[in-house]
Amino acid sequence: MTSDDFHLIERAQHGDTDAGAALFDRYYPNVFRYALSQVGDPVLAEDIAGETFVRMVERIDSFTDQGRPLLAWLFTVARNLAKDHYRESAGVLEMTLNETLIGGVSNPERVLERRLTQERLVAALSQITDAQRRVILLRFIDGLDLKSVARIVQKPVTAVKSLQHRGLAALRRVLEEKDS
Amino acid sequence: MKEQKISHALEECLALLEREEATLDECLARYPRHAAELRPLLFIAQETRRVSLPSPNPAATARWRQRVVNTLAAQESSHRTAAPHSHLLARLGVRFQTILRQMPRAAALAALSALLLVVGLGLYLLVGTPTVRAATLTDVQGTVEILSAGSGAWLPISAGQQVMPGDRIRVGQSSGATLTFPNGSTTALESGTDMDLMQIRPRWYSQDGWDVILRQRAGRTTNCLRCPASEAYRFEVRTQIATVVARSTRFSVSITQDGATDVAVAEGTVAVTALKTTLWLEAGQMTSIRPEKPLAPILPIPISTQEPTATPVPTLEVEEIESPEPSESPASIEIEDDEDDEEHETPEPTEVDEEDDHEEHETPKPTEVDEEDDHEEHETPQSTEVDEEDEEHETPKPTKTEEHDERHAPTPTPGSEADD
Repeated sequence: MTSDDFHLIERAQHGDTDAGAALFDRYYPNVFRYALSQVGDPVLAEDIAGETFVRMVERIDSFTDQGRPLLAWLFTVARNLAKDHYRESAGVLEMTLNETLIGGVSNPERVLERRLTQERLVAALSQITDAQRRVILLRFIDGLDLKSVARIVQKPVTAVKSLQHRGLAALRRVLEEKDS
Repeated sequence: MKEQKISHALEECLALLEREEATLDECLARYPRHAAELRPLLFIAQETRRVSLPSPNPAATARWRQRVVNTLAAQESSHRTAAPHSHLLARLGVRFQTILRQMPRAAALAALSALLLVVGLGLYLLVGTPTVRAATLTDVQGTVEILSAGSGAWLPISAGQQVMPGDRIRVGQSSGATLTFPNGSTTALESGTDMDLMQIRPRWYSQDGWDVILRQRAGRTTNCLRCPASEAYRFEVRTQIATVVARSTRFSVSITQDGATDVAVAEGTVAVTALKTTLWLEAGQMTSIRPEKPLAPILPIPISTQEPTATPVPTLEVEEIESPEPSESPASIEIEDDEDDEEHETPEPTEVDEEDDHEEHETPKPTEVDEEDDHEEHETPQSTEVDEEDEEHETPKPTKTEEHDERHAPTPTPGSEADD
Protein backbone atom coordinates (compact mmCIF):
# COMPACT_ATOMS: atom_id res chain seq x y z
CA MET A 1 0.00 0.00 0.00
CA THR A 2 1.40 3.40 -0.83
CA SER A 3 1.81 5.83 2.01
CA ASP A 4 -0.74 8.03 0.35
CA ASP A 5 -3.25 5.18 0.25
CA PHE A 6 -2.64 4.43 3.87
CA HIS A 7 -3.00 8.05 4.81
CA LEU A 8 -6.42 8.06 3.14
CA ILE A 9 -7.32 4.82 4.90
CA GLU A 10 -6.37 6.28 8.25
CA ARG A 11 -8.53 9.30 7.57
CA ALA A 12 -11.39 7.04 6.51
CA GLN A 13 -10.95 5.05 9.70
CA HIS A 14 -11.68 8.25 11.56
CA GLY A 15 -14.86 8.74 9.60
CA ASP A 16 -13.54 11.10 6.93
CA THR A 17 -15.91 10.40 4.05
CA ASP A 18 -13.83 12.52 1.66
CA ALA A 19 -10.97 10.07 2.16
CA GLY A 20 -13.25 7.14 1.37
CA ALA A 21 -14.44 8.93 -1.74
CA ALA A 22 -10.85 9.66 -2.76
CA LEU A 23 -9.96 5.97 -2.54
CA PHE A 24 -13.03 5.18 -4.60
CA ASP A 25 -12.07 7.74 -7.24
CA ARG A 26 -8.52 6.44 -7.37
CA TYR A 27 -9.24 2.78 -7.85
CA TYR A 28 -12.84 2.31 -9.01
CA PRO A 29 -11.91 2.39 -12.73
CA ASN A 30 -9.20 -0.23 -12.20
CA VAL A 31 -11.53 -2.49 -10.26
CA PHE A 32 -14.28 -1.99 -12.82
CA ARG A 33 -11.99 -3.01 -15.68
CA TYR A 34 -10.77 -5.97 -13.72
CA ALA A 35 -14.34 -7.08 -12.97
CA LEU A 36 -15.34 -6.49 -16.57
CA SER A 37 -12.49 -8.65 -17.78
CA GLN A 38 -13.78 -11.38 -15.53
CA VAL A 39 -17.50 -11.29 -16.18
CA GLY A 40 -17.80 -9.53 -19.53
CA ASP A 41 -20.97 -7.70 -18.53
CA PRO A 42 -20.50 -3.96 -17.92
CA VAL A 43 -23.52 -3.58 -15.65
CA LEU A 44 -22.51 -6.54 -13.55
CA ALA A 45 -18.93 -5.26 -13.49
CA GLU A 46 -20.15 -1.93 -12.10
CA ASP A 47 -22.01 -3.76 -9.36
CA ILE A 48 -19.04 -5.91 -8.49
CA ALA A 49 -16.66 -2.96 -8.47
CA GLY A 50 -19.05 -0.84 -6.42
CA GLU A 51 -19.72 -3.57 -3.91
CA THR A 52 -15.98 -4.12 -3.58
CA PHE A 53 -15.63 -0.58 -2.27
CA VAL A 54 -18.59 -0.97 0.06
CA ARG A 55 -16.80 -3.98 1.52
CA MET A 56 -13.64 -1.96 1.75
CA VAL A 57 -15.23 0.73 3.90
CA GLU A 58 -17.04 -1.87 5.97
CA ARG A 59 -13.67 -3.45 6.77
CA ILE A 60 -11.80 -0.20 6.98
CA ASP A 61 -11.18 -0.46 10.72
CA SER A 62 -9.12 -3.61 10.33
CA PHE A 63 -6.72 -2.13 7.78
CA THR A 64 -3.13 -1.68 8.83
CA ASP A 65 -0.22 -0.81 6.65
CA GLN A 66 1.96 -3.81 6.01
CA GLY A 67 3.02 -2.95 2.52
CA ARG A 68 0.49 -4.90 0.51
CA PRO A 69 -1.02 -2.70 -2.19
CA LEU A 70 -4.64 -1.80 -1.69
CA LEU A 71 -5.39 -2.56 -5.32
CA ALA A 72 -4.32 -6.17 -4.86
CA TRP A 73 -6.82 -6.53 -2.04
CA LEU A 74 -9.56 -4.84 -4.07
CA PHE A 75 -8.91 -7.15 -7.02
CA THR A 76 -9.26 -10.20 -4.84
CA VAL A 77 -12.49 -9.01 -3.25
CA ALA A 78 -13.87 -8.26 -6.72
CA ARG A 79 -12.87 -11.67 -7.91
CA ASN A 80 -14.60 -13.37 -5.01
CA LEU A 81 -17.73 -11.31 -5.54
CA ALA A 82 -17.79 -12.39 -9.16
CA LYS A 83 -17.44 -15.99 -8.08
CA ASP A 84 -20.26 -15.56 -5.58
CA HIS A 85 -22.39 -14.11 -8.27
CA TYR A 86 -21.86 -16.98 -10.65
CA ARG A 87 -22.38 -19.49 -7.92
CA GLU A 88 -25.65 -17.82 -6.96
CA SER A 89 -26.90 -17.40 -10.47
CA ALA A 90 -26.37 -21.10 -11.17
CA GLY A 91 -25.77 -20.69 -14.83
CA VAL A 92 -28.48 -18.22 -15.67
CA LEU A 93 -26.10 -15.35 -16.15
CA GLU A 94 -23.59 -17.50 -17.86
CA MET A 95 -26.03 -17.40 -20.74
CA THR A 96 -25.78 -13.63 -20.77
CA LEU A 97 -22.06 -13.87 -21.04
CA ASN A 98 -22.23 -16.37 -23.82
CA GLU A 99 -24.92 -14.54 -25.70
CA THR A 100 -23.45 -11.12 -25.41
CA LEU A 101 -19.78 -11.70 -25.65
CA ILE A 102 -18.90 -15.10 -26.93
CA GLY A 103 -21.13 -15.28 -29.91
CA GLY A 104 -20.09 -17.20 -32.96
CA VAL A 105 -17.81 -15.60 -35.46
CA SER A 106 -19.47 -15.55 -38.83
CA ASN A 107 -16.38 -14.78 -40.83
CA PRO A 108 -13.53 -16.74 -39.36
CA GLU A 109 -10.13 -15.39 -40.16
CA ARG A 110 -6.84 -15.84 -38.52
CA VAL A 111 -6.57 -13.78 -35.39
CA LEU A 112 -3.49 -11.95 -36.51
CA GLU A 113 -5.27 -10.73 -39.58
CA ARG A 114 -8.11 -9.24 -37.61
CA ARG A 115 -8.17 -6.12 -35.58
CA LEU A 116 -8.84 -6.76 -31.96
CA THR A 117 -12.09 -5.19 -30.83
CA GLN A 118 -13.08 -4.20 -27.36
CA GLU A 119 -15.64 -6.98 -27.21
CA ARG A 120 -13.23 -9.65 -28.36
CA LEU A 121 -10.65 -8.48 -25.88
CA VAL A 122 -13.11 -8.56 -22.97
CA ALA A 123 -14.28 -12.01 -23.95
CA ALA A 124 -10.75 -13.31 -24.28
CA LEU A 125 -9.63 -11.79 -20.98
CA SER A 126 -12.43 -13.62 -19.21
CA GLN A 127 -10.94 -16.88 -20.40
CA ILE A 128 -7.40 -16.55 -19.12
CA THR A 129 -6.21 -17.15 -15.60
CA ASP A 130 -6.70 -14.56 -12.93
CA ALA A 131 -3.02 -13.94 -12.31
CA GLN A 132 -2.40 -13.51 -16.04
CA ARG A 133 -5.43 -11.24 -16.31
CA ARG A 134 -4.18 -8.98 -13.54
CA VAL A 135 -0.81 -8.63 -15.18
CA ILE A 136 -2.25 -8.00 -18.64
CA LEU A 137 -4.68 -5.39 -17.30
CA LEU A 138 -2.13 -3.55 -15.24
CA ARG A 139 0.58 -3.71 -17.88
CA PHE A 140 -1.30 -3.03 -21.10
CA ILE A 141 -4.63 -1.47 -20.12
CA ASP A 142 -3.50 0.61 -17.16
CA GLY A 143 -0.09 1.15 -18.75
CA LEU A 144 2.04 0.41 -15.69
CA ASP A 145 5.67 -0.58 -16.00
CA LEU A 146 6.88 -4.00 -14.99
CA LYS A 147 8.13 -2.97 -11.56
CA SER A 148 4.86 -1.30 -10.66
CA VAL A 149 2.93 -4.36 -11.76
CA ALA A 150 5.24 -6.56 -9.71
CA ARG A 151 4.62 -4.42 -6.64
CA ILE A 152 0.85 -4.63 -7.02
CA VAL A 153 0.67 -8.34 -7.71
CA GLN A 154 3.29 -8.99 -5.04
CA LYS A 155 5.59 -11.04 -7.20
CA PRO A 156 9.16 -10.78 -8.37
CA VAL A 157 9.72 -8.99 -11.66
CA THR A 158 10.88 -12.23 -13.25
CA ALA A 159 7.61 -13.89 -12.28
CA VAL A 160 5.65 -11.01 -13.76
CA LYS A 161 7.62 -11.33 -16.98
CA SER A 162 6.63 -14.95 -17.10
CA LEU A 163 2.98 -14.18 -16.37
CA GLN A 164 3.04 -11.50 -19.03
CA HIS A 165 4.44 -13.97 -21.54
CA ARG A 166 1.96 -16.68 -20.66
CA GLY A 167 -0.91 -14.23 -20.49
CA LEU A 168 -0.29 -12.93 -23.98
CA ALA A 169 0.13 -16.47 -25.27
CA ALA A 170 -3.14 -17.48 -23.60
CA LEU A 171 -4.93 -14.47 -25.09
CA ARG A 172 -3.65 -15.41 -28.51
CA ARG A 173 -4.76 -18.99 -28.03
CA VAL A 174 -8.26 -17.99 -26.88
CA LEU A 175 -8.69 -15.56 -29.75
CA GLU A 176 -7.56 -18.15 -32.24
CA GLU A 177 -9.92 -20.74 -30.80
CA LYS A 178 -12.83 -18.36 -31.03
CA ASP A 179 -12.03 -17.49 -34.59
CA SER A 180 -11.50 -21.00 -35.80
CA MET B 1 15.16 -21.89 -19.68
CA LYS B 2 14.01 -21.19 -23.19
CA GLU B 3 10.78 -19.74 -21.89
CA GLN B 4 12.67 -17.45 -19.59
CA LYS B 5 14.70 -16.19 -22.51
CA ILE B 6 11.56 -15.53 -24.49
CA SER B 7 9.91 -13.81 -21.53
CA HIS B 8 12.95 -11.60 -21.22
CA ALA B 9 13.10 -10.87 -24.94
CA LEU B 10 9.38 -10.13 -24.94
CA GLU B 11 9.73 -7.57 -22.17
CA GLU B 12 12.71 -5.98 -23.91
CA CYS B 13 10.71 -5.63 -27.11
CA LEU B 14 7.64 -4.35 -25.28
CA ALA B 15 9.71 -1.69 -23.59
CA LEU B 16 11.29 -0.65 -26.88
CA LEU B 17 7.93 -0.46 -28.58
CA GLU B 18 6.43 1.45 -25.69
CA ARG B 19 9.19 4.03 -25.83
CA GLU B 20 8.92 4.04 -29.62
CA GLU B 21 12.61 3.31 -29.87
CA ALA B 22 12.13 0.52 -32.38
CA THR B 23 9.58 -0.89 -34.76
CA LEU B 24 8.21 -4.36 -34.35
CA ASP B 25 10.49 -5.71 -37.08
CA GLU B 26 13.53 -4.02 -35.57
CA CYS B 27 12.72 -5.62 -32.24
CA LEU B 28 12.36 -9.02 -33.80
CA ALA B 29 15.65 -8.59 -35.64
CA ARG B 30 17.36 -8.44 -32.26
CA TYR B 31 16.01 -11.87 -31.37
CA PRO B 32 16.03 -13.84 -34.61
CA ARG B 33 15.84 -17.22 -32.89
CA HIS B 34 12.62 -16.28 -31.07
CA ALA B 35 11.13 -14.00 -33.68
CA ALA B 36 8.44 -16.43 -34.78
CA GLU B 37 7.20 -16.85 -31.27
CA LEU B 38 7.56 -13.21 -30.29
CA ARG B 39 5.73 -11.71 -33.25
CA PRO B 40 2.16 -12.79 -32.35
CA LEU B 41 2.71 -11.96 -28.70
CA LEU B 42 3.90 -8.47 -29.51
CA PHE B 43 0.99 -8.05 -31.87
CA ILE B 44 -1.51 -9.03 -29.19
CA ALA B 45 0.21 -6.73 -26.70
CA GLN B 46 0.06 -3.79 -29.08
CA GLU B 47 -3.56 -4.47 -29.92
CA THR B 48 -4.44 -4.74 -26.24
CA ARG B 49 -2.80 -1.38 -25.60
CA ARG B 50 -4.68 0.11 -28.54
CA VAL B 51 -8.11 -1.29 -27.72
CA SER B 52 -8.28 -0.64 -24.02
CA LEU B 53 -11.48 -1.40 -22.14
CA PRO B 54 -14.69 0.55 -21.68
CA SER B 55 -15.07 2.95 -18.79
CA PRO B 56 -17.79 2.56 -16.22
CA ASN B 57 -21.01 4.42 -16.72
CA PRO B 58 -20.66 7.85 -15.02
CA ALA B 59 -24.13 7.76 -13.47
CA ALA B 60 -23.54 4.33 -11.97
CA THR B 61 -20.11 5.41 -10.78
CA ALA B 62 -21.63 8.42 -9.03
CA ARG B 63 -24.28 6.28 -7.35
CA TRP B 64 -21.75 3.75 -6.10
CA ARG B 65 -19.48 6.53 -4.90
CA GLN B 66 -22.34 7.96 -2.89
CA ARG B 67 -23.12 4.57 -1.48
CA VAL B 68 -19.53 4.12 -0.34
CA VAL B 69 -19.61 7.53 1.33
CA ASN B 70 -22.94 6.74 3.00
CA THR B 71 -21.68 3.39 4.23
CA LEU B 72 -18.61 5.01 5.73
CA ALA B 73 -20.69 7.70 7.39
CA ALA B 74 -23.16 5.17 8.76
CA GLN B 75 -20.30 3.06 10.06
CA GLU B 76 -18.76 5.99 11.84
CA SER B 77 -22.11 6.87 13.33
CA SER B 78 -22.71 3.32 14.54
CA HIS B 79 -19.24 3.24 16.10
CA ARG B 80 -20.11 6.22 18.19
CA THR B 81 -23.38 4.78 19.41
CA ALA B 82 -22.15 1.19 19.75
CA ALA B 83 -19.13 1.92 21.88
CA PRO B 84 -20.92 1.91 25.27
CA HIS B 85 -22.78 -1.27 24.36
CA SER B 86 -19.63 -3.04 23.33
CA HIS B 87 -18.13 -2.30 26.73
CA LEU B 88 -21.21 -3.70 28.37
CA LEU B 89 -21.13 -6.82 26.19
CA ALA B 90 -17.46 -7.32 26.95
CA ARG B 91 -18.16 -7.14 30.65
CA LEU B 92 -21.07 -9.58 30.32
CA GLY B 93 -18.79 -11.93 28.40
CA VAL B 94 -16.20 -11.90 31.17
CA ARG B 95 -18.89 -12.47 33.76
CA PHE B 96 -20.29 -15.40 31.79
CA GLN B 97 -16.85 -16.97 31.46
CA THR B 98 -16.34 -16.68 35.19
CA ILE B 99 -19.66 -18.37 35.88
CA LEU B 100 -18.81 -21.19 33.48
CA ARG B 101 -15.48 -21.78 35.16
CA GLN B 102 -17.16 -22.08 38.55
CA MET B 103 -19.82 -24.53 37.33
CA PRO B 104 -19.42 -28.33 37.12
CA ARG B 105 -18.49 -29.51 33.62
CA ALA B 106 -21.89 -31.12 32.89
CA ALA B 107 -23.78 -28.09 34.04
CA ALA B 108 -21.54 -25.84 32.00
CA LEU B 109 -22.21 -27.92 28.89
CA ALA B 110 -25.94 -27.81 29.53
CA ALA B 111 -25.79 -24.05 29.99
CA LEU B 112 -23.83 -23.63 26.78
CA SER B 113 -26.27 -25.84 24.87
CA ALA B 114 -29.20 -23.83 26.14
CA LEU B 115 -27.48 -20.62 25.19
CA LEU B 116 -26.72 -21.89 21.68
CA LEU B 117 -30.33 -23.00 21.28
CA VAL B 118 -31.62 -19.59 22.27
CA VAL B 119 -29.13 -17.80 20.01
CA GLY B 120 -29.91 -20.14 17.11
CA LEU B 121 -33.64 -19.61 17.52
CA GLY B 122 -33.11 -15.87 17.64
CA LEU B 123 -31.01 -15.93 14.50
CA TYR B 124 -33.59 -18.04 12.72
CA LEU B 125 -36.33 -15.62 13.62
CA LEU B 126 -34.14 -12.70 12.65
CA VAL B 127 -32.77 -13.80 9.32
CA GLY B 128 -34.19 -17.22 8.62
CA THR B 129 -37.64 -16.17 7.58
CA PRO B 130 -38.30 -17.72 4.21
CA THR B 131 -37.95 -15.20 1.43
CA VAL B 132 -40.80 -14.85 -1.01
CA ARG B 133 -39.35 -15.41 -4.46
CA ALA B 134 -42.43 -14.87 -6.51
CA ALA B 135 -44.22 -12.09 -8.33
CA THR B 136 -47.89 -11.41 -7.94
CA LEU B 137 -50.21 -10.84 -10.85
CA THR B 138 -52.44 -7.79 -10.55
CA ASP B 139 -54.61 -5.63 -12.77
CA VAL B 140 -55.69 -8.59 -14.83
CA GLN B 141 -57.93 -7.67 -17.72
CA GLY B 142 -59.24 -10.10 -20.34
CA THR B 143 -57.43 -13.35 -21.03
CA VAL B 144 -54.22 -14.04 -19.18
CA GLU B 145 -52.81 -17.55 -18.95
CA ILE B 146 -49.95 -19.24 -17.14
CA LEU B 147 -47.83 -22.22 -18.09
CA SER B 148 -46.40 -23.25 -14.76
CA ALA B 149 -42.91 -24.70 -14.61
CA GLY B 150 -43.16 -28.43 -15.16
CA SER B 151 -46.71 -28.21 -16.38
CA GLY B 152 -47.81 -28.94 -19.93
CA ALA B 153 -51.03 -26.99 -19.97
CA TRP B 154 -51.90 -23.32 -20.16
CA LEU B 155 -54.32 -22.33 -17.43
CA PRO B 156 -56.16 -19.08 -16.81
CA ILE B 157 -54.62 -16.96 -14.06
CA SER B 158 -56.41 -14.33 -12.07
CA ALA B 159 -55.40 -11.31 -10.05
CA GLY B 160 -53.62 -12.08 -6.81
CA GLN B 161 -52.06 -15.33 -7.97
CA GLN B 162 -48.34 -15.82 -7.65
CA VAL B 163 -45.99 -16.30 -10.57
CA MET B 164 -42.91 -18.32 -9.74
CA PRO B 165 -39.53 -18.49 -11.46
CA GLY B 166 -39.88 -20.83 -14.42
CA ASP B 167 -43.49 -19.85 -15.08
CA ARG B 168 -44.54 -18.47 -18.43
CA ILE B 169 -47.32 -15.92 -18.90
CA ARG B 170 -49.16 -14.97 -22.03
CA VAL B 171 -51.67 -12.20 -22.47
CA GLY B 172 -54.48 -12.42 -25.00
CA GLN B 173 -55.62 -9.73 -27.38
CA SER B 174 -57.24 -6.69 -25.80
CA SER B 175 -56.02 -7.97 -22.45
CA GLY B 176 -53.42 -6.91 -19.94
CA ALA B 177 -51.94 -7.59 -16.53
CA THR B 178 -49.23 -6.39 -14.19
CA LEU B 179 -46.57 -8.41 -12.43
CA THR B 180 -45.63 -6.97 -9.07
CA PHE B 181 -42.29 -8.01 -7.58
CA PRO B 182 -41.42 -8.29 -3.88
CA ASN B 183 -39.97 -4.79 -3.65
CA GLY B 184 -42.90 -3.20 -5.42
CA SER B 185 -41.39 -2.97 -8.89
CA THR B 186 -43.85 -3.76 -11.63
CA THR B 187 -43.92 -5.08 -15.16
CA ALA B 188 -47.01 -4.22 -17.13
CA LEU B 189 -47.83 -6.84 -19.74
CA GLU B 190 -49.76 -5.55 -22.70
CA SER B 191 -51.91 -7.48 -25.10
CA GLY B 192 -50.05 -10.13 -27.04
CA THR B 193 -47.22 -10.35 -24.53
CA ASP B 194 -45.62 -13.72 -23.95
CA MET B 195 -42.87 -13.92 -21.33
CA ASP B 196 -41.12 -16.16 -18.84
CA LEU B 197 -40.17 -15.23 -15.32
CA MET B 198 -36.69 -16.74 -15.33
CA GLN B 199 -35.22 -15.58 -12.07
CA ILE B 200 -36.28 -13.75 -9.02
CA ARG B 201 -33.96 -13.94 -6.08
CA PRO B 202 -32.33 -11.78 -3.45
CA ARG B 203 -29.28 -9.93 -4.66
CA TRP B 204 -26.28 -12.13 -4.29
CA TYR B 205 -24.48 -9.85 -1.92
CA SER B 206 -27.33 -8.18 -0.18
CA GLN B 207 -30.68 -8.82 1.41
CA ASP B 208 -32.13 -5.48 0.50
CA GLY B 209 -32.28 -6.04 -3.22
CA TRP B 210 -33.40 -8.45 -5.85
CA ASP B 211 -32.33 -9.81 -9.18
CA VAL B 212 -35.15 -10.25 -11.64
CA ILE B 213 -34.70 -11.78 -15.07
CA LEU B 214 -37.52 -11.93 -17.59
CA ARG B 215 -37.45 -13.48 -21.01
CA GLN B 216 -39.80 -11.63 -23.30
CA ARG B 217 -40.93 -13.67 -26.27
CA ALA B 218 -43.48 -11.30 -27.75
CA GLY B 219 -45.51 -8.18 -27.08
CA ARG B 220 -44.67 -5.18 -24.99
CA THR B 221 -43.74 -4.75 -21.35
CA THR B 222 -43.35 -1.56 -19.38
CA ASN B 223 -41.08 -2.02 -16.43
CA CYS B 224 -41.18 0.29 -13.47
CA LEU B 225 -38.37 -0.32 -11.04
CA ARG B 226 -38.33 0.91 -7.51
CA CYS B 227 -34.89 1.17 -6.07
CA PRO B 228 -34.00 4.65 -4.88
CA ALA B 229 -30.39 5.19 -3.87
CA SER B 230 -29.66 1.49 -3.74
CA GLU B 231 -27.69 -0.35 -6.34
CA ALA B 232 -28.77 -3.65 -4.94
CA TYR B 233 -31.20 -4.38 -7.70
CA ARG B 234 -30.80 -5.75 -11.16
CA PHE B 235 -33.70 -6.02 -13.52
CA GLU B 236 -33.04 -7.75 -16.77
CA VAL B 237 -35.31 -8.30 -19.74
CA ARG B 238 -34.03 -10.65 -22.40
CA THR B 239 -35.43 -10.97 -25.85
CA GLN B 240 -34.23 -13.28 -28.53
CA ILE B 241 -31.81 -10.69 -29.85
CA ALA B 242 -31.06 -8.31 -26.99
CA THR B 243 -30.62 -8.01 -23.26
CA VAL B 244 -31.84 -4.94 -21.40
CA VAL B 245 -30.50 -4.32 -17.91
CA ALA B 246 -31.77 -1.59 -15.66
CA ARG B 247 -32.36 -0.42 -12.17
CA SER B 248 -34.23 2.44 -10.65
CA THR B 249 -35.87 3.34 -13.88
CA ARG B 250 -38.91 3.01 -16.08
CA PHE B 251 -38.55 1.55 -19.51
CA SER B 252 -40.46 -0.45 -22.06
CA VAL B 253 -39.45 -3.37 -24.25
CA SER B 254 -41.47 -4.15 -27.36
CA ILE B 255 -41.01 -7.01 -29.77
CA THR B 256 -42.33 -6.03 -33.16
CA GLN B 257 -43.87 -8.18 -35.85
CA ASP B 258 -40.59 -8.40 -37.73
CA GLY B 259 -38.73 -9.62 -34.65
CA ALA B 260 -37.09 -6.35 -33.73
CA THR B 261 -36.70 -5.32 -30.09
CA ASP B 262 -37.58 -1.71 -29.33
CA VAL B 263 -36.37 -0.29 -26.03
CA ALA B 264 -37.50 3.09 -24.73
CA VAL B 265 -36.53 4.71 -21.45
CA ALA B 266 -38.90 7.02 -19.61
CA GLU B 267 -36.77 7.51 -16.51
CA GLY B 268 -33.27 6.52 -15.40
CA THR B 269 -30.77 4.60 -17.46
CA VAL B 270 -30.71 1.16 -19.04
CA ALA B 271 -28.00 -0.85 -20.75
CA VAL B 272 -28.95 -2.59 -23.96
CA THR B 273 -26.68 -5.36 -25.20
CA ALA B 274 -26.95 -7.04 -28.57
CA LEU B 275 -24.39 -8.75 -30.75
CA LYS B 276 -21.62 -8.22 -28.24
CA THR B 277 -22.13 -4.48 -27.98
CA THR B 278 -23.65 -2.49 -25.15
CA LEU B 279 -25.12 0.98 -25.33
CA TRP B 280 -26.65 3.09 -22.63
CA LEU B 281 -30.04 4.71 -23.01
CA GLU B 282 -30.98 7.67 -20.88
CA ALA B 283 -34.43 8.99 -20.11
CA GLY B 284 -36.19 10.14 -23.26
CA GLN B 285 -34.14 7.90 -25.53
CA MET B 286 -34.98 4.77 -27.45
CA THR B 287 -33.42 2.32 -29.84
CA SER B 288 -34.57 -0.45 -32.10
CA ILE B 289 -32.53 -3.62 -32.44
CA ARG B 290 -32.99 -5.69 -35.58
CA PRO B 291 -32.14 -9.38 -35.75
CA GLU B 292 -28.54 -9.97 -36.79
CA LYS B 293 -27.93 -6.24 -37.07
CA PRO B 294 -25.61 -4.14 -34.96
CA LEU B 295 -27.15 -1.85 -32.38
CA ALA B 296 -29.05 0.97 -34.02
CA PRO B 297 -28.37 4.59 -33.13
CA ILE B 298 -29.97 6.06 -30.07
CA LEU B 299 -33.04 8.09 -30.95
CA PRO B 300 -35.11 10.54 -28.95
CA ILE B 301 -38.53 9.28 -28.02
CA PRO B 302 -41.16 11.31 -29.88
CA ILE B 303 -42.21 14.14 -27.60
CA SER B 304 -45.88 13.54 -28.26
CA THR B 305 -45.82 10.26 -26.36
CA GLN B 306 -42.52 9.95 -24.46
CA GLU B 307 -43.17 6.24 -24.84
CA PRO B 308 -42.45 4.27 -27.98
CA THR B 309 -46.01 3.23 -28.41
CA ALA B 310 -48.79 5.31 -27.05
CA THR B 311 -50.25 2.80 -24.67
CA PRO B 312 -50.22 4.40 -21.27
CA VAL B 313 -50.10 1.99 -18.40
CA PRO B 314 -52.13 3.34 -15.54
CA THR B 315 -50.15 1.56 -12.84
CA LEU B 316 -46.88 3.23 -13.72
CA GLU B 317 -46.92 6.47 -11.86
CA VAL B 318 -43.72 8.30 -11.19
CA GLU B 319 -44.62 8.49 -7.53
CA GLU B 320 -44.30 4.77 -7.30
CA ILE B 321 -40.67 4.92 -8.31
CA GLU B 322 -39.85 7.45 -5.71
CA SER B 323 -41.65 5.85 -2.82
CA PRO B 324 -39.59 4.58 0.08
CA GLU B 325 -37.59 1.48 -0.47
CA PRO B 326 -36.09 -1.18 1.73
CA SER B 327 -33.40 0.42 3.76
CA GLU B 328 -29.87 -0.03 2.68
CA SER B 329 -28.18 -0.36 5.97
CA PRO B 330 -24.61 -1.56 5.84
CA ALA B 331 -25.45 -4.16 8.41
CA SER B 332 -27.83 -5.88 6.08
CA ILE B 333 -25.44 -6.13 3.20
CA GLU B 334 -23.50 -9.11 4.36
CA ILE B 335 -26.10 -11.22 6.01
CA GLU B 336 -26.84 -13.56 3.17
CA ASP B 337 -23.36 -14.66 2.36
CA ASP B 338 -21.72 -13.48 5.46
CA GLU B 339 -19.94 -16.69 6.11
CA ASP B 340 -18.48 -16.87 2.66
CA ASP B 341 -17.43 -13.32 2.64
CA GLU B 342 -15.71 -13.51 5.90
CA GLU B 343 -13.71 -16.26 4.46
CA HIS B 344 -13.02 -14.31 1.35
CA GLU B 345 -11.90 -11.08 2.60
CA THR B 346 -10.15 -11.61 5.82
CA PRO B 347 -7.47 -14.12 5.21
CA GLU B 348 -4.93 -15.48 7.47
CA PRO B 349 -1.80 -13.44 7.69
CA THR B 350 0.10 -15.89 5.60
CA GLU B 351 -2.31 -15.29 2.75
CA VAL B 352 -2.45 -18.13 0.42
CA ASP B 353 -4.85 -16.87 -2.14
CA GLU B 354 -4.58 -18.00 -5.68
CA GLU B 355 -1.42 -16.10 -6.15
CA ASP B 356 0.02 -16.79 -2.83
CA ASP B 357 -0.28 -20.45 -3.33
CA HIS B 358 2.81 -20.16 -5.31
CA GLU B 359 4.34 -17.38 -3.52
CA GLU B 360 5.36 -20.20 -1.36
CA HIS B 361 7.17 -21.43 -4.41
CA GLU B 362 8.73 -18.12 -5.03
CA THR B 363 12.30 -18.74 -4.28
CA PRO B 364 15.06 -16.59 -5.58
CA LYS B 365 16.10 -19.41 -7.85
CA PRO B 366 15.46 -18.21 -11.35
CA THR B 367 14.54 -21.64 -12.57
CA GLU B 368 11.50 -21.65 -10.35
CA VAL B 369 9.93 -18.57 -11.75
CA ASP B 370 8.00 -20.46 -14.33
CA GLU B 371 6.76 -22.94 -11.85
CA GLU B 372 5.18 -20.14 -9.98
CA ASP B 373 2.73 -19.59 -12.69
CA ASP B 374 2.23 -23.26 -12.95
CA HIS B 375 1.16 -23.39 -9.38
CA GLU B 376 -1.20 -20.56 -9.62
CA GLU B 377 -4.79 -21.32 -9.17
CA HIS B 378 -5.17 -24.98 -9.58
CA GLU B 379 -8.75 -24.19 -9.94
CA THR B 380 -10.59 -25.93 -12.63
CA PRO B 381 -9.51 -27.89 -15.57
CA GLN B 382 -10.89 -25.73 -18.28
CA SER B 383 -11.22 -26.51 -21.88
CA THR B 384 -9.82 -23.24 -23.04
CA GLU B 385 -6.83 -23.51 -20.80
CA VAL B 386 -5.47 -26.82 -21.81
CA ASP B 387 -1.96 -25.68 -22.23
CA GLU B 388 0.19 -27.90 -20.17
CA GLU B 389 2.21 -25.00 -19.04
CA ASP B 390 -0.73 -23.12 -17.76
CA GLU B 391 -2.32 -24.64 -14.81
CA GLU B 392 -4.54 -21.76 -13.86
CA HIS B 393 -7.70 -23.15 -15.24
CA GLU B 394 -9.94 -20.58 -13.83
CA THR B 395 -13.06 -19.40 -15.51
CA PRO B 396 -15.84 -17.33 -14.07
CA LYS B 397 -18.34 -20.02 -14.86
CA PRO B 398 -20.55 -21.05 -11.99
CA THR B 399 -19.59 -24.65 -12.10
CA LYS B 400 -15.98 -23.78 -11.85
CA THR B 401 -15.97 -21.92 -8.58
CA GLU B 402 -13.76 -23.37 -5.96
CA GLU B 403 -14.65 -23.25 -2.35
CA HIS B 404 -11.13 -23.55 -1.15
CA ASP B 405 -10.03 -20.56 -3.06
CA GLU B 406 -12.62 -18.37 -1.45
CA ARG B 407 -10.82 -18.58 1.80
CA HIS B 408 -7.66 -17.09 0.55
CA ALA B 409 -8.46 -13.57 -0.34
CA PRO B 410 -6.05 -11.14 1.11
CA THR B 411 -6.50 -8.12 3.21
CA PRO B 412 -4.25 -5.22 2.59
CA THR B 413 -2.59 -5.96 5.82
CA PRO B 414 -0.95 -9.29 5.59
CA GLY B 415 0.44 -10.40 8.80
CA SER B 416 -1.79 -8.62 11.18
CA GLU B 417 -5.44 -8.74 10.43
CA ALA B 418 -7.46 -11.31 12.15
CA ASP B 419 -10.49 -12.68 10.49
CA ASP B 420 -13.57 -10.79 11.13
